[in-house]
Amino acid sequence: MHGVRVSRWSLAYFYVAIGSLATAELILMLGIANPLQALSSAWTLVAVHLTTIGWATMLMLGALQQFVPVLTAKELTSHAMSGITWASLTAGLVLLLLGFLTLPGGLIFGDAWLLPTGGTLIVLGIVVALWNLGATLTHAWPWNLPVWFIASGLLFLLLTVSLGLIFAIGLSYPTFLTPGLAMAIFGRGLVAHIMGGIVGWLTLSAMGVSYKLFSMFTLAPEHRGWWGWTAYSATGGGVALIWVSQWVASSSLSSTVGWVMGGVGLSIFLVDMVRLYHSRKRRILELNADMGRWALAALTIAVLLEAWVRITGQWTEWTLPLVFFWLFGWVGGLGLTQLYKIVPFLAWLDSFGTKMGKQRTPRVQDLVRESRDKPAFIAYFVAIFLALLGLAWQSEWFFQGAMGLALVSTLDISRALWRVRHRRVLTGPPTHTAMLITERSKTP
Amino acid sequence: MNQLTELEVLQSLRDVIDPELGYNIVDLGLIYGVTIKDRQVLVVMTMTTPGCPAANYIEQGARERLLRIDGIKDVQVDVVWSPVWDPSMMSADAKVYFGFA
Repeated sequence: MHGVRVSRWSLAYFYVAIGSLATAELILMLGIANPLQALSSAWTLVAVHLTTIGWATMLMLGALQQFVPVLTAKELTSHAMSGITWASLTAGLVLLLLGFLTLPGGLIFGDAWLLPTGGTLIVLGIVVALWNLGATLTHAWPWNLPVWFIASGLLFLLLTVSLGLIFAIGLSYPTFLTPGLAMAIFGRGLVAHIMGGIVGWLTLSAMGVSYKLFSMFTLAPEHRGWWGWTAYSATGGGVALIWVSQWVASSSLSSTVGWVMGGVGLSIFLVDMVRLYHSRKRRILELNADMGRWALAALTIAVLLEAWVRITGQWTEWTLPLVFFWLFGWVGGLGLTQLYKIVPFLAWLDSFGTKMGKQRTPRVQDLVRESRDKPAFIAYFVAIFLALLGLAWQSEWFFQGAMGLALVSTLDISRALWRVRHRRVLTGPPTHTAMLITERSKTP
Repeated sequence: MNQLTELEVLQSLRDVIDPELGYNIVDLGLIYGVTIKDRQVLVVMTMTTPGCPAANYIEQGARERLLRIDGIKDVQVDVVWSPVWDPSMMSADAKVYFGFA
């Protein structure tokens, strides 16, 4: 055996992820969750955690169940543990969301146990995931660049959900924390929670995944040399410095250094992505690699915006639009575009893997209709940019309208992915395109 | 029975594709060598990415396809990682298909 086994659980993670994204977009579109009115309201917290845990974290962890073995050429330590993590995170997410609805403005009265129980299940799920993925990674020492990104991301994930559990207990049982500790945890700790989650966990992991996937999908050189390692060191070091600075008194200088390091690291990463695409051998890109550039463009806008906001001292006004765009434009955009390749690939292995050599088989890209599906991806990115403007202008109706467009786009992309798994042609003959390729190759 | 030739083996292997790249394994340059002896075939090949979950299916697919040739007694497929595969190993047709010829 020269390849790794197909992940049995990745698709289950992706189902929860897509469902969470669509639900978050729905309640934001309807104004049930309104971040412009109160960030800490019950429904806004529901929307935020549907997006960060339900969508982004489930998506990333689902992808890593398959991606870590590919990256390391080592079998995943345990597929059963993948299932345990999925079950624990899904149950934990449901309880956490219900727990948020016990807060003022929510639907449920009492039931203070929901938030801490949900948080505990999430932490347990992450610990199992770290054990499983970590054991696989340790067999692959010394690590290559993408593995360093992912290992660092996983560390930040543990820090983020652990802090989240303390928040959950503190919100449900206010006497659990002393007033001084509560002020520190809910003040500086919140910044560490957000930074650790969105940049430390999701962005570092997404950078590592991007380096491997984009070089593979575009036939570009995988070894990134000085550029890649500098991007990793500066971004990882920067976010670590910001995280630690939150807990140290008189830390404004170290925090500023962290922000600068992070900005420089991300800028180097983005320039390196331009170099990667420029040096690619595959000139005609598939839709996932083509639209992946839009996610990278979203990160570029977010980094430039972050620099401008810090220089001009408008952090308070721009935190919400910036965090939103980072999550939905960069992390979410990258996730949706790459699912468009990963899901058909898994479907192909499931349907045609054992038929290879016995009959002609289609290509992975024959399972999707790129021209039909491309408008949905464009609409998604346009919607997220419009939503950014809505938040910046503090226009509720504009933001809700943009989220409506994002929801329609997400549903259309979900339909395309569903069709891949359930199309009738999967049991039929290969497509004409695939036949043409093999026939043309046989022509002297 | 006609003598089995390397060309015939390679033509048959063109029915096996790398599903991600969507092109046959011969023109992608994944076949490093074919040895035929007493209607037994040894294929030495590589993959584009070590650890790819499609690798086992491609390896098995190559074996299955060759076993369908009349008169073949046995097929052995050896997967090697050196030299490391590079897009420059593709055939001219494949390079045109991917747009870099």
